[in-house]
Formats: sequence, structure tokens, C-alpha cells
Amino acid sequence: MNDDEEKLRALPLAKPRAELDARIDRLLATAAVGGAKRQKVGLGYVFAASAFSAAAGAAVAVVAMRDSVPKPIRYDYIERPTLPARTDPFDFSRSSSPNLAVWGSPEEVVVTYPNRLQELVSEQTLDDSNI
Amino acid sequence: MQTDLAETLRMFYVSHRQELFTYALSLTGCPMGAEDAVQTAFSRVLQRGRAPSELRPYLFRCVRNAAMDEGRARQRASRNDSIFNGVHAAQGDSRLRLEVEELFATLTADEREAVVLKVYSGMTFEEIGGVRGVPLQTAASWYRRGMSKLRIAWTREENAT
Repeated sequence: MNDDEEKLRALPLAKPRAELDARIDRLLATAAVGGAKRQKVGLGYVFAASAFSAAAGAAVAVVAMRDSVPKPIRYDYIERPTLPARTDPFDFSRSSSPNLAVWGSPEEVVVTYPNRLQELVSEQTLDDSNI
Repeated sequence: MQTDLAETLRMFYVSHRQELFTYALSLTGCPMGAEDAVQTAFSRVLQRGRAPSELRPYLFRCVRNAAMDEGRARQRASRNDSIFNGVHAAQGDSRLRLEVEELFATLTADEREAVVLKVYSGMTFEEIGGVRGVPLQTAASWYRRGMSKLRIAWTREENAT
């Protein structure tokens, strides 16, 4: 440093007011708190996303498991509401479907295919107790 | 991350408070405007979200930009306060101080800025060039021209005593 600089440095400088310190302090404190909040919110998002992923994964697993289990076959929904009580298994005339033989009381509807029924008939004597 | 940046800026402010204010005051010519400029500079660094690789020149550049904006907003010509402390004006070194103040006012803006950054912020010519966006030689020549003008004050002082 040369002499000229030293002389200049020797002169007292105007000082910033304490208000500037307070302003900067407030600004930095707000930023620090804001940053911490943002970090917390960020972590919240991470946790929420993880929880959501876990929940979504579990839901997918449940659906997959449910789909892998064979559904019970329900026949009674086919024609049951309109079925009249029938006792003759060979009477296909009243069946709504030509390929199906339907008989039994509305509470115990039995549906089978005619071919299989014919086989049954040929295999054994059909009486009321077989039906 | 933001907490670290705020802490870095706090430490920087504590150790460079006077330098930043003097520089801003030399640009705005108004203590209020200088304070606003310093605050704006810190605010801009915070908005950036992370500390620049070289904080010191970056913050001084921010102060300069903010001071220029402040100066334009406040119509700087209406007020031109000195960077020197008015309280001491009535005391011993008042004559020299007034003379330096007068000479300071005759410097060009570039010369004054170079002198302030070199003398009161301890910057090298390279750093001054970085803050101003000019080559090192240009910053050095601004400084030399400014100091040669101020030297008149010392000469007069010496002749008077």
C-alpha cells in the first residue's frame, strides 16, 4: 500500500446505520427459515410420494392377486329370473338358448349342455332321482 | 441448502459490511440508497439459490447493479453525500477531509469507483476489472488517474503546514 492510500484510509468513513444490519439480518433469517420450510416440505413430498407409491404398489398387488384367483362360475344369472319351473330335462323347446338345457326349480337352476346330457342318458337310465 | 447460503452471506456481511456500504455510497451518493443497494444485492444472491463460486466479486457486482438502479430511481443528482464521515468534519482533520471530498467529487465515476474498490475494499486491479467487466489495465489506469488528482490534496496540505 502506498502513502496516498494510507492517507485516504486514515480519513473516517461514513458508517452504515444499525438499521441496515437489522434489515440484512431479517432478510437472511427469513431466507434461512424459508429454506428450512422448503426442505421440510420437500421431505414431506418425498414421504408422501413414497407412501403413495407403496399404497399404489399394494393396490396393484391386491388387484393382481384377486385376478389370479379363479372367479366362481355363476350359472344362475343366465336365465334364472324368467325361468319357469320345469321338470323335464329333455324338453328344450322352452329353453331360451337352443344349446342349453335348463331345468329345475328357480332356486336350484341346473344348466348343462345337451350333448353332455345325451351322454348321461345313454350311460344310465334317467329317472327323477338322477336329475 | 438455503440455510447454508444464508449463513455464508451473514458471515460475509459481518466481515465486509463497511466495504459494501462505502462502495454503494460512492455510487449512489445517498446513504439510504446505499443501504437499499446493499440489501438488494443480498436479496439477489438469495434469489439465486446458491452461492456463486466467487462470492466477493459477485456481491460487489450485485451492489453495483443495485446502486445503479437505485441511482436512476432516486435521480442521484438531487443528492451527493460523501463517503466520508460527516461527524468528524468539525474535528481536527476536517480541512483535509473537505479537500479530499471536493477532489473526490471531481473524479469521474470510473476513477472514483476504482479508487474506492482499491483503497477501501482492498481489491486488486484484476478484481476491479472483474467487477466492472473491463480489462485489468483499464481498471489500473482509472485508479492512477484518480489518485493523481487526489494527490493534489496532500500537496496542498503539506504546503499549508
